[in-house]
Amino acid sequence: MIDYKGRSEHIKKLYEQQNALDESIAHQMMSSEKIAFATSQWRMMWRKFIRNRIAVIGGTVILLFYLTALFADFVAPYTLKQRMTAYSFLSPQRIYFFAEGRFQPFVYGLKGSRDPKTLMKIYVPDPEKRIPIRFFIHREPYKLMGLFPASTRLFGVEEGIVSLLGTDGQGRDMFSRIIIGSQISLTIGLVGVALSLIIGAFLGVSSGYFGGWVDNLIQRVIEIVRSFPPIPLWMALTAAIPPHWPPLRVYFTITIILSLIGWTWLARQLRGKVLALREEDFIMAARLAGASDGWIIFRHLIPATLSHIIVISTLAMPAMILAESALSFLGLGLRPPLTSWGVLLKQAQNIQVLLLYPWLMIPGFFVAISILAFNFLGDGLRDAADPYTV
Amino acid sequence: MNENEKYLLKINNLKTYFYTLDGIVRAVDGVSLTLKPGKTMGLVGESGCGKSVTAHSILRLLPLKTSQIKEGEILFRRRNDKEVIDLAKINPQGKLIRSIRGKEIAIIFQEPMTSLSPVYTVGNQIIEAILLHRQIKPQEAREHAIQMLKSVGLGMVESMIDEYPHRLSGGQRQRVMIAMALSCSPSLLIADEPTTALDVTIQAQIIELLKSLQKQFQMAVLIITHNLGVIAEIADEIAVMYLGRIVESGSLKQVFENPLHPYTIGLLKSVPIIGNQTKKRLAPIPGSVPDPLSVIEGCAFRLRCPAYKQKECPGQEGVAMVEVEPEHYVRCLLYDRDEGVRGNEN
Amino acid sequence: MIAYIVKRILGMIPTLIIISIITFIIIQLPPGDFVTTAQAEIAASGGGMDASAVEAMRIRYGLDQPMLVQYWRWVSGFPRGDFGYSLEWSAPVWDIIAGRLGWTLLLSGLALVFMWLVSIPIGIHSARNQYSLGDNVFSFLGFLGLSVPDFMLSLMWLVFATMTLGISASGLYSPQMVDASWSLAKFLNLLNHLWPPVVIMGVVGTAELIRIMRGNLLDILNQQYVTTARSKGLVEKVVVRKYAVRMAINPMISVLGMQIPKMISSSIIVGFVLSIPTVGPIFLRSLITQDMYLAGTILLLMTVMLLIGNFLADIALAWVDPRIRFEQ
Repeated sequence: MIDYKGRSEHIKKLYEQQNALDESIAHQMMSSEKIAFATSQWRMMWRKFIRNRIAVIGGTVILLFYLTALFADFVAPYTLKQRMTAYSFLSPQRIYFFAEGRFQPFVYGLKGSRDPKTLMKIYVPDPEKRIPIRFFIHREPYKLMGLFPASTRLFGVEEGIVSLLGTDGQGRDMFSRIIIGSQISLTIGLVGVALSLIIGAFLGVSSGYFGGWVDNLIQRVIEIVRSFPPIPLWMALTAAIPPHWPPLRVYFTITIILSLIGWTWLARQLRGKVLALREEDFIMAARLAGASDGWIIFRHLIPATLSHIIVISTLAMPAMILAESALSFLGLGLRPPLTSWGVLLKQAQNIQVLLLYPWLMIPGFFVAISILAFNFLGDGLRDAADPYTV
Repeated sequence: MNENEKYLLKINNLKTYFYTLDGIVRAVDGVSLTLKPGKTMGLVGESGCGKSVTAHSILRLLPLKTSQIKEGEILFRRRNDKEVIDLAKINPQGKLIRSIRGKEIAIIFQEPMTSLSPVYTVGNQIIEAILLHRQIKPQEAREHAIQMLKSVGLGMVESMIDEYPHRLSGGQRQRVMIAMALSCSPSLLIADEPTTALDVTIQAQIIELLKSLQKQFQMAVLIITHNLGVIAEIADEIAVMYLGRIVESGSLKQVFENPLHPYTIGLLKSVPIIGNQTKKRLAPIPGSVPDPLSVIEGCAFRLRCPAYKQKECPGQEGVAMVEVEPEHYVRCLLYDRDEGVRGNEN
Repeated sequence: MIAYIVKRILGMIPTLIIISIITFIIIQLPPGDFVTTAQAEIAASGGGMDASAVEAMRIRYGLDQPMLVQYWRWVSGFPRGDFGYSLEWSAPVWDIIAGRLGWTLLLSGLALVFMWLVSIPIGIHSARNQYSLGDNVFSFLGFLGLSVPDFMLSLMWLVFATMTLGISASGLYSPQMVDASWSLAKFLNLLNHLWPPVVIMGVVGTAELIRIMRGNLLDILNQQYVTTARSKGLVEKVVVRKYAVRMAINPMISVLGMQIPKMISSSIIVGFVLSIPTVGPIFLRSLITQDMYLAGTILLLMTVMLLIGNFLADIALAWVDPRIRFEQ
């Protein structure tokens, strides 16, 4: 039998000999904590985000859309207003990629006629006539981003027509119009969300932080604004826009109208976050150190909620794009010459025409895809920012 | 260990692993315990050492998709005394385990605030437990529930039984939990940190309540806690856990008077003593519990052990349980050098 | 409980008053008034009105009175069920819109029911079988449903139904049934025309509800009281139904309530495309012609529908969650 009592006493002595402030112990503890601090919040978010493939796809699609919108005039083979009446109501053309074994994209020339019974226009591809698609071709000049004059376009044809998504009743190429129209559709979202954010952040944070009558008042206002069903409210407000106003003013007014309704959601979200953070110890510590309200709001609360702000802004975009499309579709939003996806869809209102030429619906798919992409992206950002999900 | 003594629950080399995206967590990594009828066993250790997982494993309450009992047996002697079943092998959703849960083995949890569903009355939840295991009329069940609530020291029971849980205090809810757990007179009560979330004064009351109920119902109790004071009050035997393994076990007197494992000694020394020894410096155990995802060869405690640091122990080889005095086991190389009697656990 | 209801109703009254004022202001926003529009339309068709005729028209319609008086004229009729007079249709507003509001209400209500019935079982299945094939499929469909706008879905359905299926998809009845007398066949025909708009309207909300149900249930299944229920020896099915799902329903009621404004909006758009007689087209026209009592009443009543819907949702929530019921 071993002398267990002796061993036991010996171990007790070993503990007492140990200096709690022993360098090595302190070092040991510090080094394990250092590793935790090395990764900043943003890097952790990024790593988590990257793992989410769907969100990354969404983000990539959005990036692609915005880049295309930026270089819209370059990517689009035709301009917004270009009418090729010989080819009106043309269905989307088929592109062939190989000619005699070589990579040479081309389309067939078309012979147009009218069906005697339905009066529908019919186009028959002519196999004899091959029209090669040229890249970086010089066509109608434009101003890149409104500033730099240029005339090179990504692709086009010297004669005939290359219409990837078909044409409308006036022979305008849908693909070009969708690309150029994306500029308005996508930026209304950005500007609208930015405005909503400014109003919503200001009111939401104040409401959550100050509480009391400020909170009550703002909550009441939010309640009243939210009592109105959105579409009828937008309809009523946009109906108030005089028809003779210049397009740009209409654009901005519509954006303002959309953000006037949209801010309530953002405000609510931020208020909730601020309410939760307000009780945290670090806010109390700041206050005890003598920080003013403004300091606390701008130096502590806003950075703490920044990731949340990014998430809810991303998630608010789809609603804006959707709202503008719906309104323009009804004829209440933007009007020509301003072109957005919603305005393009207005043509689809005519059911008879739509049944004959269903490709006029395609702008709606672009709306759907951008909303889908934003939702994936926003969802992925939200998961990445949430510290509690794995 | 005297094989002829009848045990109530015998855990043999239990290994419960969790499978996460970041790796395998070996929460219980070879635990062996014996619970005797009518006796109280205290399971002690820091947070994260696997005590709760052990308790949940007994009743198979762990999430099915992410966890698994990799190895080991949980032998339970049923009330009819004829059969001993291995709880580790039976279907976690089957009829057998359900007939044992609540009826022969009951469990109460740490957080009384969230242990009861907020949308059903207290009575509804207790009566449900009773009717599950007894073929009696609802009216009789209600009478029984009222009796149980009285026996846990609650007042105004006739009206409380129709109250919703959010109207009760933490202490009251914990008593309700106890009443519910004991309503079918189980032979084993598992108490998973029953007092940790309560105020100190309420803690004392609950512990006293558990002691008297144990006598009254003649049941075994497995109490899990990190609070040595609670253990001292209520336990007959004690097992100390570290990182998924038992490092020391024995009777209360043995372990408290002669702690053997450096971890046990460290724990006992960490408890501040009020009195004439105030001048003495506290001797804390340095460092913290290692990452549960890490796999440590040999003695898991050596990274924090003063003997290892002073180079008095190599700490490398696999360590087995050694019986140092009758019924007092320790898993530590410092007691293994000579011809120490090896226990039948490994 | 009764006290709670009464308190909520009383709280709604000032909101209603403010809303009626805001509604009136919004309707008056476009420049000019009904007479101006009428004048423009007459001018467009080549006619003209001299100043005195214009003035007489104004006085006849009471448009020369100050705003406050016009507002009062409108609001004071509410208790009698009199919502004013439509200048364009020359009929009491209520007669014009009653039926159409009914359709709006019906479509919205059916869409809500659809959402509820579909999303809960799918949400439960997705939560219990997380990451399974079914879960992923439903998640993806859910995202799709969230993203495709209702007007787009309506257009797609119209094209698909007419071209591919060859059935009538617009209006309430097929052309041959429109004037037929009421019968079982006509009723079935009506149902056949109602389910597409209801489904289209419900799709967006369903997607959201499924995601929330799934998320909530996943959280709840990890809660202590679910483990307690299991530890008593309950069958897993009962544990999930009685303890988990029951708790997850509570926030779902709130979310369902939040769908109400979207449904009302959506009924207008979908009704527009699929030619269901909701208030949409009339509302649009009245906005443009400044038929103020008509436009104002429509907007007001839609808002009231929303408020009542929220109120009902709150009551349902209080009834279902005892913690709210007993709050002081």
